[in-house]
Amino acid sequence: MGDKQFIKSVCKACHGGCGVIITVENGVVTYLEGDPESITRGTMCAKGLASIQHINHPDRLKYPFKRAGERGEGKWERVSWDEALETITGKMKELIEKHGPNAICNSQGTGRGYNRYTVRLGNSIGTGNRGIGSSHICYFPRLRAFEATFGFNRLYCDYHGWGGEYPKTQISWGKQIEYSSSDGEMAVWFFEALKHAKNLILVDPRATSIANKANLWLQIRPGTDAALALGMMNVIINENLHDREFVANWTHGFDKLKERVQEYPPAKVEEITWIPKEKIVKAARMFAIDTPGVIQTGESLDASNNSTSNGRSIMCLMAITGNVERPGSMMNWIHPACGPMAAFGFEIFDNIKPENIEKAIGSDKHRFLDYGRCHTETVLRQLREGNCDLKMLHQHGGNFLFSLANTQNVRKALLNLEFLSVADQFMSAMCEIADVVLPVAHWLEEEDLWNTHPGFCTRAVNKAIDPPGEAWTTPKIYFEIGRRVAPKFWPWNSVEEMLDYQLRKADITWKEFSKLGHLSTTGKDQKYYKHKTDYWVKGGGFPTATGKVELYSTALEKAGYDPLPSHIEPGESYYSTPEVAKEYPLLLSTGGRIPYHFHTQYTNLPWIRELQPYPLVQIHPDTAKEYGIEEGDWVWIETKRGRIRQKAKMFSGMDPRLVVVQASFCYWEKQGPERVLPSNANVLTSDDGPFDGPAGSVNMRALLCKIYKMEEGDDTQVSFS
Amino acid sequence: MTRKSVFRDPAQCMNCKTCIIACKLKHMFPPHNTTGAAADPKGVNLIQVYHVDPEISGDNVHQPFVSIACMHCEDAPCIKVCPSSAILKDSETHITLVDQERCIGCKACLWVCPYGAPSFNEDGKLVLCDLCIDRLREGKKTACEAACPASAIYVASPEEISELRARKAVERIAGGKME
Amino acid sequence: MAFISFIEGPLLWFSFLFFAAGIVTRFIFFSFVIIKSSKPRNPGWSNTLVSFLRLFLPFHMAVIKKPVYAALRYLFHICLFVVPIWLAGHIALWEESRFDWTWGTLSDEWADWMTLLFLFIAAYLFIRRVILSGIRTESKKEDLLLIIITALPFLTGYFYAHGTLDSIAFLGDNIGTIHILSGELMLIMVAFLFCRTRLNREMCTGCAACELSCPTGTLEFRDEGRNRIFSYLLYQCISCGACVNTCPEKAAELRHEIDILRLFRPTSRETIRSVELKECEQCNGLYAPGPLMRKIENVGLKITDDYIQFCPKCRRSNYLERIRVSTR
Repeated sequence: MGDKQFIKSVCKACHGGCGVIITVENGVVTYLEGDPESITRGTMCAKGLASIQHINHPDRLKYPFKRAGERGEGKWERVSWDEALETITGKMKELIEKHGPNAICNSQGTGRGYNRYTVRLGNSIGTGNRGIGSSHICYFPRLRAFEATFGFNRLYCDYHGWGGEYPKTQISWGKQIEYSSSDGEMAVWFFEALKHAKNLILVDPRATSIANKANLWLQIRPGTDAALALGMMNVIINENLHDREFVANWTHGFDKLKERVQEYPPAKVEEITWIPKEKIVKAARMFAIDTPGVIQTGESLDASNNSTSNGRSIMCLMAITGNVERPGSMMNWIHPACGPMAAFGFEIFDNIKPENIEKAIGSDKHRFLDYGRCHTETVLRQLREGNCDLKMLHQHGGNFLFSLANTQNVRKALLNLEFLSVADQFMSAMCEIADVVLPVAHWLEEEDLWNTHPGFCTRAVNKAIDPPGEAWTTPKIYFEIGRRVAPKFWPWNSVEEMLDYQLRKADITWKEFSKLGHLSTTGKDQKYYKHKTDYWVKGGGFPTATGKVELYSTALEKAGYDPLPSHIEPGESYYSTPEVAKEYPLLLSTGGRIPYHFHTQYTNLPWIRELQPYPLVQIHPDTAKEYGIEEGDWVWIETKRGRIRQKAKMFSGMDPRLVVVQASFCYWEKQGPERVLPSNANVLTSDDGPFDGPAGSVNMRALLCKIYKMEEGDDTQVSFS
Repeated sequence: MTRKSVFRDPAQCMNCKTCIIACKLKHMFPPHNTTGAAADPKGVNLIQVYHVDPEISGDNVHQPFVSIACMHCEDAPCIKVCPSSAILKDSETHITLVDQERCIGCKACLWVCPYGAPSFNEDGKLVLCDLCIDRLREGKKTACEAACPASAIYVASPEEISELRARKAVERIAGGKME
Repeated sequence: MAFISFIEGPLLWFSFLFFAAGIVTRFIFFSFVIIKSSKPRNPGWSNTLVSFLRLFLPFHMAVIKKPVYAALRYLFHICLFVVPIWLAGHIALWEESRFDWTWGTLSDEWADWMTLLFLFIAAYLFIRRVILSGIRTESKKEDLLLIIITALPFLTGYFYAHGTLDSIAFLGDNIGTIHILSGELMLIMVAFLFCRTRLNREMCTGCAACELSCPTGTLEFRDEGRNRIFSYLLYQCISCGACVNTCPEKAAELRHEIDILRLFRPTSRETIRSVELKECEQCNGLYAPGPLMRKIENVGLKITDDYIQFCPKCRRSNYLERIRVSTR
């Protein structure tokens, strides 16, 4: 046995953060398993468990590289970290000198517990264009809607029963929590709480895998979520089922909302959403009568040109049924002593000059973008047109060629950047067009703090092994860039000091914390009904302008938007663009997710690839028959933007008019365009509006397409346009 | 250690395939990493999860996810037909185990298994779920049971399992009660 | 005596040269096939070397299976090599020849006993082959001829040395000539003598475990049409006996075979067995070898009645269907 160690850490394979015990033998990770003592009770998922193949993958980036040929030519020169960082920070300083800080943008991929570093770096530079990326189509529209409604940025489902009560009615709205804990809520909590629940309502165009547990499945037309929520409120308010005490004391603008929901009687909502009105009524009564209840919302609500209303209408539904701050309902959790980790990024927000925030690209139209961000599609359009103020992008993780709408346009725009540096673990398609590429360590190789989304627990990510080659951990890369470009805000001597700084409020050092493992406020530490105490507002209330839950949002009103939620038809649909529907008769959703993929991540791991070697498009058997398609056939899916091919998978649990493509699939075994384009759903999506007013979201979940069987040998070469 | 039996609950399973990867990790099964990704890697899977196309009636959707692996039959036909006596029952736990040295790869076990569960490694030798017998001996849960977020896998004594199954059947027939 | 000088002179030369050329050719072909073989279990040089070693030191893995029979076979082959090479009479001839070669001799007493032992085993093998019905049906005339040709030089040599048959006029005069001729015939035959696996038609179930055990890919099977066809590449065989050892039905046997045509066809495969495949009663797909399925059915498993006639895929979908209905 010899040298066998067990190290406790936190899995960062998705946003979740399952507790892990890592077995290290003689400096090699030999086993991973869930930590039964952690908040996730020892459960894990395929993504996290496959990490062992991830860390040992021979294709991982091990050294910093600098471009040797043209952008995207694939010629690289290995450089030292010093040279790579000097190149990046030198460029930053040069551009700040020439154009001001707004010329620089630093961004990231999905949030894996390092968001605060990205935010702090952007803030320390002082750029108003603090980030482009997919935040406006994922999560942030909901956060901003929460803020506009409640004054703080998120309510979480109380699955834990700490207040003595579990949710009686659960709604899973456009979310597959069993697939990925992608907003920080864990599948295991959901399933535990489900044992105590009376009702489960599933709102999803497809009968997802929890449909068999649901008492009611609302088979919604993609992109019409706001209409459904308004329809349910119509029933609740007109039948007087709302929580009158909560509405009277703690909400603002109920009368105006009541007026608004009159526009959405169930019969009309049936027309919009394709859900039978009896089911809408049933769901509304269920949620209003069997309280407390929770609503778990998914990302598909955000990838819509009505994202703010989608989020806000659901929040209003929570509020009028009194499902706020009550045991077993929607909760805003109290953070442990160390405070919210995100503060590390936002505490220096004031460093950005107000005029720079004002000049953030696209923020004139979209006032509710992620804090201090610019509007991605506007930036990319300006870049393509060559008149963009933003000159440089430093990207950490993520791959815009897969995550943003209209891949061809995204690539063209990125090539027009003056400078692009990317930090990643593999030579992704975005690395390939970069000027400098930095190698990043895996979570098994780093020391960091992990703040679970719900916030009631901050945990230590402990290092199990050394990174390969010269790869650096994420905090170290940010720290080294930060102290070169804005030393005032990165004053520490080492990464450890930086971690100590983040823990200062809890009066604990990183070394102590690392041994302790976590700081939590669970059980009795959590307080309910905080709006009745001085927690947010002295004398009680919510931290909004009116001190109440704003069903009628004064913040939106002030910014010139509709203060009440409403239904806006998706940018492309049978009703909004009937002429397009003639040629493209089927409804397309790009929401197809695979439980063991996170976008394109992990698709290059042999264990994962074996489970599903090719991308799958779900087609209703009746539709398939009509088009002469059989199970396993390669199928072309075409929209106005382009076409992709995926393999047909019959699925009768959805509307026959609907086609659901797998969102991302990367052919790691191929090079150049063949790697990115053949099956990438974002070749099909539109980056050309309409956008959601406040949040600037683009519609990706409700499009129109046509499908046809791929003939033998029709897998024509693809190329970047 | 008492006798062990396994129940993989089709009503609880969510098709997330965690059990498959947990199993691969526990046994370090191929496919292994290669430089330059392989398009269609093939390895050993002891567990297969199948999706039954949904049946929709009224408000109810019925779509069980059935995971198939060795069921550790009490009266296992594979043991009876194995010509080289390579399959045996652990005397203590009654777990079906494979002696790879003895296996000759004739596949008689596959042709007799009611579930088509046997899988074969790259040498053509039989590999079966051993219910992580080494972990059970250490007092731990099996790799798949420990990792399953949906609590769909139960490893316990046959009496406990049959009681559990009976209870679930009653709940199902009674209806309305959430599982 | 022109005839005797012909067989003692040119014909002897021819036999020895033919024997040598045959061995060299065989060796070249063997090396070629073994090195180029696309299907060894563990490819690489070490494996090729091991293959050579195993060919020259045929300690079969199959020994454990039939220990008595294997011991007799080894004794038989030891005598076959030792007696003619170290026989005093033969060495005397080498000494007289132009080469003037000599080496240690075997005592006459030993030579006699070994010859008798050899003949006894040969007789046993011959009679066994004629009497035992299981082996008889699998045998061809050439197999019996092979034993006769191998035994004949020893028989005639024994008579020659002891003058046993001197009283019979013709044999008494010509026993020497017959001995030389039979020896020459045996030498020539060696060039056409191969080792080959045979799969007993009555016992083989077509399970293909032998194919899996074969380290060089000599034995192969493919499912073609309604049959599973086993084929064999003579030159690739290193006579290791893995197939014999593995076969659970004792149906595989490694045997000598005279085949004149095969000498010059190093890469051609020969079909050695064809087994019909069983059809799934649900999807009509072919899945398992028929004899194996019959054997499994005869084990007497009650519970197999309701599914054994289906292929694993159909069993699985039936199981899924059962679950679907039972959990509804």
